[in-house]
Amino acid sequence: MPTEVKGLIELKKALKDYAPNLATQLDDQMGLALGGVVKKAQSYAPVTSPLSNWSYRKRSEKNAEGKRKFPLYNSAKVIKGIQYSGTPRRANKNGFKAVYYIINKSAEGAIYETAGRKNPNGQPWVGRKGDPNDHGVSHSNNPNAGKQFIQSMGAIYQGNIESSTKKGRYMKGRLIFRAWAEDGGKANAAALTAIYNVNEQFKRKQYFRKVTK
Amino acid sequence: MSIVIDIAAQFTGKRAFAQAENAADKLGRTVKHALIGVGVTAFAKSAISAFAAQEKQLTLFKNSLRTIGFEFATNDSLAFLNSLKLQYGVTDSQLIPAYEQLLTTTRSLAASQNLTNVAMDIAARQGISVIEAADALSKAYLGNTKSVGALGLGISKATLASGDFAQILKEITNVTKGAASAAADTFAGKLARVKVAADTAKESIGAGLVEALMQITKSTDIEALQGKIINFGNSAAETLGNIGKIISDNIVLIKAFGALMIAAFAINKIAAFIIALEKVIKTVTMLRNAALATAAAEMFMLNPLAGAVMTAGMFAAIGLLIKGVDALSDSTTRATENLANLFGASKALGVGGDQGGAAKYAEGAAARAAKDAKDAAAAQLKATKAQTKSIQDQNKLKKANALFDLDQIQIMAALQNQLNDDEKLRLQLKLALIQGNATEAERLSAQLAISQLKTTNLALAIANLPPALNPFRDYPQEVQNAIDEINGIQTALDKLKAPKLTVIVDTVYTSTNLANPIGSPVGGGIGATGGITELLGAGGDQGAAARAVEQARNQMTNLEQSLGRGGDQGGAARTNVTVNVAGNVISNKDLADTIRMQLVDSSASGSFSSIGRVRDYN
Repeated sequence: MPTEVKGLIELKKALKDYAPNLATQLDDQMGLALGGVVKKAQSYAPVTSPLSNWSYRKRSEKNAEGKRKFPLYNSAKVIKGIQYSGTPRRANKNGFKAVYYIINKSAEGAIYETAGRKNPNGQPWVGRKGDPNDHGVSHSNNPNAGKQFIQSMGAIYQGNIESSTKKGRYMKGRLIFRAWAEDGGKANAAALTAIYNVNEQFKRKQYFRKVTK
Repeated sequence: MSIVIDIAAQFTGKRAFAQAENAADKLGRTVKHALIGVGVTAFAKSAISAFAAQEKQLTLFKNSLRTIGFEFATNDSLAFLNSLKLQYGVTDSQLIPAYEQLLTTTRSLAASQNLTNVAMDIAARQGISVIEAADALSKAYLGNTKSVGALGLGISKATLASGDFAQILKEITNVTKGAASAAADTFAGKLARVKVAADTAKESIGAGLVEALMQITKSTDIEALQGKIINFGNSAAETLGNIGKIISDNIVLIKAFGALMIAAFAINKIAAFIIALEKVIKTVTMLRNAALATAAAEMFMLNPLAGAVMTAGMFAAIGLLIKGVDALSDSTTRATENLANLFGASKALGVGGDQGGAAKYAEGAAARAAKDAKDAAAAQLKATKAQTKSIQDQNKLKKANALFDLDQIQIMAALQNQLNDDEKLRLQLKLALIQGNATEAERLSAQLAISQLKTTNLALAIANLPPALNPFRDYPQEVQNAIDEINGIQTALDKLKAPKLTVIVDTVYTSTNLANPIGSPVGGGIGATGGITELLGAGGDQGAAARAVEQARNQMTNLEQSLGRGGDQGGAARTNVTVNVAGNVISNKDLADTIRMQLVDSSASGSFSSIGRVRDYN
């Protein structure tokens, strides 16, 4: 589970309004805390596509029905899509709003990250006969396409379930979850410490007074 | 979907959901209320639009008639069309163009009116628009019978081919006569007639609304109205805030109003609206009085000056509203009467069976509204009481707070001193003004005014007193005496300052005994001769020395004789020396110095003196 920091959003707003220097300091410290994990995760993104025919090339991105095609692997895009952020996200169904998080934005990055997490041997195969709108089955001519695709991606790593909202297989991955697991919770501790320190500084009224003078 | 690792999160969920639910609930209610507003607004808008469209159509129609030289027949034509419209339930948008075309074609009022009737029959029979029928007739009138033939009325080809319009018309009439009347007598026709009547009413209401807008804004023309609407838009944003507060403070009344409007617009917009309008006016009046008074009172509490300004503005607005509401009341009364007539007519026509139900529902809504209004009045009373208590509490707090008011402390301290009544009154009045105690301030002002009046009377009495005796009547003589005294004193002082002393000094000794000439310092000169003798040496020219001495003696004798003292040769001669002392002779030494200096001066100026000056050189 992530750490729930009560009033974190309000703190960020207050820092922005009354102690911009502290806000900058917090951003810097978060950068130090999370930047390492991000860099490591970016380093795990393969330079070339794990599958030769999955590599990025120029093509129409929409199919005949006008729908988006399965994304091709673009290393630069995957790397660029791995970031950390301090902008609060929309609340999830449980009512938690992530304020600081590491994100893997790109579609191809997400595919590489999570392929095989749910079905380690690929989705059930139905071939061309199945409902084309059913995305829970494989429509490939090759019954082993899913399995081969996943195998080419390499091993999937179990992330640190203690420090995330996700647990079990939802914390498995090849990029950010792998980096997060290897970090061993240090980044998480550093990030929370940074928040705590800044909050303490802000609570010390003299800083507040100094800024408002 | 992005893949995310959360590091720090904040729980905003359930509260956010609750807020969302509340917001949704509020939104629902707002939408409901807004829809009511939309109903009113939409009706007003459509009424104004209908009026505008009709106005435009009539203007074009008049222009057309003017163009073909039938301007004089405008009113008759409109009256004819109006009667047709109500009789057959055909709208102006159909009738006017058809009539216009026929009149343009035939250039005859009688013919065009007759053909319009025929066109309506054709339209009713064939299920086409009156415009199409009139177009066909116009063309046939001009010799083009194709359109008439295409109408499918069963006119023989021979007749059509002949081009005889009278014959064609006769056949058409035979086929279609009474179709319009028959159609109008059907249920659909009756509904169409009611609709036309409603549209007419709508247009009239639209005209009234535009006129009302013009009157309320005191606009002479549409351009002025436009300008005022734009200006209103600018100030509306500010006003809306206050309106929102008024609405929230009077939500019960608003709800009653809303219920009334729902009742009015859910059944039959026009009829129920007119029925409900009286109740609406009453509700609005209550709302107006309660809400505006509350707002004014609140504003007074917060800021008396702004409150006064706001109240002034409100009175102006109330005046305007009363004007508008009164005008609306009169119109409503007439509209209600007309509505009763309309229902009577509708019943005669066999339609409007639901109107009674609508009225009943509206009456029920009105009763509910009255009950709500009563509740609202009770709530208002409660609120007023609470407000009064709040004001009292605030006054108490203010009083307590006044203990720390420096101005008041100073005034209180000043009041402890011995003051006359007038000053005391002034201080007490100032204190009352600071404390905002209007009653006390008024009382003290009156007292002060009386006091000042008294003072003024006293001044008047003083002014009327006879002239007082001159206490300085003998002043010149007294002053002269004083001056004399001062002069005397001055004289005495002058005398003191510059005493003139006459000192008689026995200084000069004249003697024939040259061997011993020295008897006193002043006789040194004479003695000097002896000295000279000694200097010259006794062994020198004794004869010459003796002559010199003799000569000197003679000169001295002459001198004494010239001084008038030649007779006193035997003893010491007295010389008067006058010494003017300018106030600096204080001691004996000063006197001696002065005398000596005087003698020296005398000697230097050639006068005789007997100072032993030669000795001084030694």
